[in-house]
Amino acid sequence: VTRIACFYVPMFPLAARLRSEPDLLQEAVAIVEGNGNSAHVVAATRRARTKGIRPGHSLAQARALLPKLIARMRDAECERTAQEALYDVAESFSPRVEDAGEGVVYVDVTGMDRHYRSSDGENAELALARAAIDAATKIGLPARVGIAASKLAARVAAELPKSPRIVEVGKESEFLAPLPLTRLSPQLDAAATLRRWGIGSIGELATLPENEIASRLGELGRELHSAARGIDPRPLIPRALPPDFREGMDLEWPLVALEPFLFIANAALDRLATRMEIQGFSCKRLELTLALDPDGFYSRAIDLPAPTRDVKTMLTLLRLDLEKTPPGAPVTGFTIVAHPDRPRRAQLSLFGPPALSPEKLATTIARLVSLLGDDRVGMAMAVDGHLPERYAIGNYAPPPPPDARRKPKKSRGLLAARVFRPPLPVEVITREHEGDLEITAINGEGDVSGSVRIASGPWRIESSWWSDAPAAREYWDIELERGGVYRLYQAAPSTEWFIDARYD
Amino acid sequence: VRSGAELLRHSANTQSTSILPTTLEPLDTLLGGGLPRGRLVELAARRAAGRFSIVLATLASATSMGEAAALVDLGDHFDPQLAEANGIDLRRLLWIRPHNMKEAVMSAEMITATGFQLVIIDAGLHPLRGKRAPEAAWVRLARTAATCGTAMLVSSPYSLTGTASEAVLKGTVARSRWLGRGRAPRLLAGIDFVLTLEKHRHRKPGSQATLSLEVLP
Repeated sequence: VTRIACFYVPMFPLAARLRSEPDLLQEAVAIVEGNGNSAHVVAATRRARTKGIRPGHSLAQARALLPKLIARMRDAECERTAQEALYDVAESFSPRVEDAGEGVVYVDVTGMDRHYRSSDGENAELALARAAIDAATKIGLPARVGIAASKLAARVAAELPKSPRIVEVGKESEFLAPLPLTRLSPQLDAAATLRRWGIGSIGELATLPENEIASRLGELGRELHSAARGIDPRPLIPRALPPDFREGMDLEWPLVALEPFLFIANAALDRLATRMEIQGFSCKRLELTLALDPDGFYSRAIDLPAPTRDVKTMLTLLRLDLEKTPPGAPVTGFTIVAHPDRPRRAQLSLFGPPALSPEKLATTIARLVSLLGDDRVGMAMAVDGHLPERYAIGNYAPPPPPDARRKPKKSRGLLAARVFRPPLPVEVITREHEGDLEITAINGEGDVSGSVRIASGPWRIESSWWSDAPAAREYWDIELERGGVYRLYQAAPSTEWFIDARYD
Repeated sequence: VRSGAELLRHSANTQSTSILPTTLEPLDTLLGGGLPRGRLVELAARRAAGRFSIVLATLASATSMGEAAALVDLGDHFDPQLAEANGIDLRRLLWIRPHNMKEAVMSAEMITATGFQLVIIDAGLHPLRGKRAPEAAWVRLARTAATCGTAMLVSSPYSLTGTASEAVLKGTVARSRWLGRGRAPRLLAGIDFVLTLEKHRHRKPGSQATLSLEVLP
């Protein structure tokens, strides 16, 4: 038997807003839709409701009841991201999830009860529903959960104030019978007609003959009668996994400074990290879109050096990027899109050298990049060519350590050279001796100055003669009287000399 | 452990795995086998005294054992081609190029805490980039290395780490070796360096060793 759970967030526009602005949770807040005289309340916090404010009141009426009422416009971005977050929670319970919008998702939980079977005899589905409520609360959404054999019964069960509610298999019609007709569909026009006939509850409708209802109310009547008996033929239509995670909001007033924006972005990144953690993802790429005042958008993309969920790292990279290339206009709204990637995993070895934790390494590299810059950290790579200063830097992803400890290879005892990037310009004093060039002294900065004791060379290197940047150099090894052995070159066709390395 | 012999065997095993050999024999002899894991060793020499060659040899030793190593290269002197010729497995080496000493120490602390088995800070040549780090920073770094069991080597033109280091080595140039005499063309063959153990917490300081290094043929 199919078992469907409905996750339902009551007063969804308000819940979505409070998720983005949790400071308003204890305040008297109303979510308003429409402009000017047509502005009306769609949802209000408990504190506002105790003062008599109800959905449908105009903003003027609500303000008359409570002058200090905080009014917020419905925010489509907040609601969309809250809906996605609810979907993420649902997906952490089952891969088959249908997004019904407006704070409602259906989850196929068939067979899931065995994972939540408890020893104290508690209903396994009840334990599952409680876990779902806890997971939704963790991401800032006060969800209710109902579990039944059909979407309709699950939805009605979820909408009831006492949550969670479990409808036993085959007892859908019994569960629905005492409830008022409006529970079947709040916007039902036929409900008024049925009330005039003296039918007040779902059970009373279910006892009437189906043909008689169909002949009087048409196809709608037949569907309504089926629903009243707990029959819902609609299948669950699962949604494909979203390719990315989004968070964002429209701001009440334009922001001109970076710090206040980062304060809000920090909260958004925190929510993103929580959602990605639920699904077992890390962030590989961040995309930031800023809505500018008076119009226009500003987009930035930040590739993270390694997948991470570390909010501090992501925020630092965002800060560095915005400091480097500011948007140039006040910001009225933002969206942050995180492209997910599976975090790196590794099997640790029992006998070999300890492996680095891939997730810890990714976070460290991301932090180092945010501290030093993206070309300052990584794996050094040898490059084909002839010029000694060549190098490349790539992503650091070390192979797993060997299964058993190895002995180190014996050193070749080679003399290393410290490369100078860029090479140091020096003045070189030479003389001709029997047709050969002799280097007698060099004048450079600091230690790189003095008489030359021994000079060895030249060795010619010619590279990239076919390109726009050809290099033709004559290299020398020199030892100064005061100590120090250096590598020196003259770059043709100029007569300039450079020291590009010191033997050390 | 049930007997004294077992205890001795266990102690010997622990000793051998808690040392990272540099595979440069004179240096290993001075340090009692190599770099102690979980300790900070400093190699200081104002003039070029084989510091960078020791750095590369140590990196080659650690990466050839399959260990993760990191080089904090303050002077930006690292040459990947030469490193590969020295036997360094570049895939296991994290190369970090900070702008100043403060960043170098911060980076070293971060990567040590990540679990790298060898972390080397090469401070480059005189003058150092940026201000010197306070001694407290080195003490903190040494404690992080002790917690994570990381072998840490600091190579600098003058002593920086103060009381934080387990051992301090000083290097001087003995002589450079050139092929060819008189008017004949010369060719650099290698350089000999003298290393002196200036300080060690468990060994008597003052001993010396000569390190002979050859130019890559």
